[in-house]
Amino acid sequence: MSGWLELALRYIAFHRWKTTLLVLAILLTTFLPAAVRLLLNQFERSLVARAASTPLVLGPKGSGVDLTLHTLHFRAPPRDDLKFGECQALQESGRCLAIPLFQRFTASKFPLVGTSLEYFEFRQLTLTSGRNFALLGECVLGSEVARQLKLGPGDQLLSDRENVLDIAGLYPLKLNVTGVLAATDSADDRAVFVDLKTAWVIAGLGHGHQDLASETDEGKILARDDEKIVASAAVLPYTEITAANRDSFHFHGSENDFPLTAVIVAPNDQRAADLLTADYAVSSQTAQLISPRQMIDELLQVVFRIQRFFDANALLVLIATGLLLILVVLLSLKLRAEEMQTMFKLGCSRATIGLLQLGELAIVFLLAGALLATALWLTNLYAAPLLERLLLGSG
Amino acid sequence: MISIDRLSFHYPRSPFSLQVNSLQIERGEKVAFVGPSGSGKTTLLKLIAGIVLPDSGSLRVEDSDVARLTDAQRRNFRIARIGQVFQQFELLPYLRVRDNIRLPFLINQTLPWTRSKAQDLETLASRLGLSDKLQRFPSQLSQGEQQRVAIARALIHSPPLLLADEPTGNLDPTNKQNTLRLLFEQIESHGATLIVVTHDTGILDGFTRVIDFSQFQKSAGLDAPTAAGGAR
Repeated sequence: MSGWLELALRYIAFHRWKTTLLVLAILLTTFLPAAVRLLLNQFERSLVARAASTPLVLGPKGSGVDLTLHTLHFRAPPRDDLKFGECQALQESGRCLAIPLFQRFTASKFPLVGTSLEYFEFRQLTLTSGRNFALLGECVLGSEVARQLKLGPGDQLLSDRENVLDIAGLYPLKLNVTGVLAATDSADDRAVFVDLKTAWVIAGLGHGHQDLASETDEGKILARDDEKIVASAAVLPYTEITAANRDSFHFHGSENDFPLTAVIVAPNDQRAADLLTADYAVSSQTAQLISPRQMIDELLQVVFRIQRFFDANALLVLIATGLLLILVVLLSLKLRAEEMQTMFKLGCSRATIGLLQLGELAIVFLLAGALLATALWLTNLYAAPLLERLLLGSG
Repeated sequence: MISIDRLSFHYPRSPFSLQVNSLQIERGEKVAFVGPSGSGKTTLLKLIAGIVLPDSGSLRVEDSDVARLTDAQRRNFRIARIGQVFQQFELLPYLRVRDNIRLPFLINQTLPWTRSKAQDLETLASRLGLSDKLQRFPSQLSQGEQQRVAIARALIHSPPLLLADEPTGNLDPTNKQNTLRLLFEQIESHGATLIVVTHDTGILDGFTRVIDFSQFQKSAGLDAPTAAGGAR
């Protein structure tokens, strides 16, 4: 080891608390702006990539940004519903592929997304185990859901009650896990997917119960005539869909009136996209057709305005820290002037004296740089997904 | 060993000046420079070491004309040919005793650190009674021990010339005698030349020659140093 390096390391080791303070000062002042930039860049990449792969979204009128975040990241659903008939009409127009989404419920706190099998093809989602849902009551888990809940094909998962105190409300439904999706580093990893009809059953629009036509217990029948039977509260709906009771499940009302929270619209071509957008802009009173990319760009503009504020603030802190560092270095040089004079008198080479003073500073910056890189790596690993979930409110 | 001829020196922006018409010091001599403060004793040591340069005249140490060497050559000459002991010891507080003694090898590539040098360090430390203190920091040593470390640092590379500026100035009487005895022993065992600057006339017995700078001041123009002006 070179003499100057050995001396520099000995000096740093002897003054370890001073060195630690210097390293921490550099680390803390550089970490915040670097981490903010790193996280925002990753957030931007994630948002833009998902938005770019989703051409148009149909949803109830309201905030376009909220609708986009709900459709792309399963954030809180819009207050109003869209009718399934809207999705059917779009599909039948022949101008696009329309993929329905209904997400008002959760399972073990993860968003429970009712959709069609086209969603998986559209998002290019593949299964790592099991198969896709095919029957009422079946579900497919995102990779993160499966990992956190330690569930796989053959296991069961209960949908969450909307309100545990609402004993007269909707019953939770026991879902059969049929498959687990491969990780995509997107909101799909943190969602539970069911068929649209299963989601409607959870919403109370469809249910299954014992056959009342042959029921002889009068306590369970309130009224009976040739056209209908009115059951009492003693008749409980099934909370699990099995092979034995699957056929008893049925829906009341017209399917076209059933709710959706959004529809992903993939137009056949640009012309179709323009026509559809114009149609909805002009004629629909209740629905809006939006471009997620446009909405995300608007959102990011706000985010980057905030980032610029952060950057300006960070720059001032960096300048202040830089000045303090210069002061510390100058004071250190002054304190060590006698030591350097001794070195000179003994015959220390000019280069060694220079290397000694610069070397210590370089080692301090290297230490701070190494710690900064580690901190940013950990931030990227743990804080980025956390921030995304916090900002997008999913999972 | 040392040959000075019509040497003249002054510090910039200072009334102090030093003239030495002629001074010869032979190899193996033990010379004491005595005299009042400001008479130029320390300045002459600095001139011999090449730390400051004469305005005129000649100053040869061994075969080198110190004033004619480049800065880098003077530094290399100093580290290789001269050992120095300072009044304030000037040990580096962040180095253990072992590394303080090894310092000349750490600060200039001219001196290569070898296995035999490491062995020399152990022997020297043992002779100076420092064997059990090699892992300590200077702050964990007494004044006498610190001075012994400074002497070991000056001798580790076996220089032919040892310059000591008030080496006993901060020591109690017992440590003073011990330090001098050690210095003489080491010098004699190395066959080196010793020049000591001191105010203490009570320690002059062991020296082969004493040069009194106050006498030279009174008899300016003789073959001896002459100083005028403030303290240095």
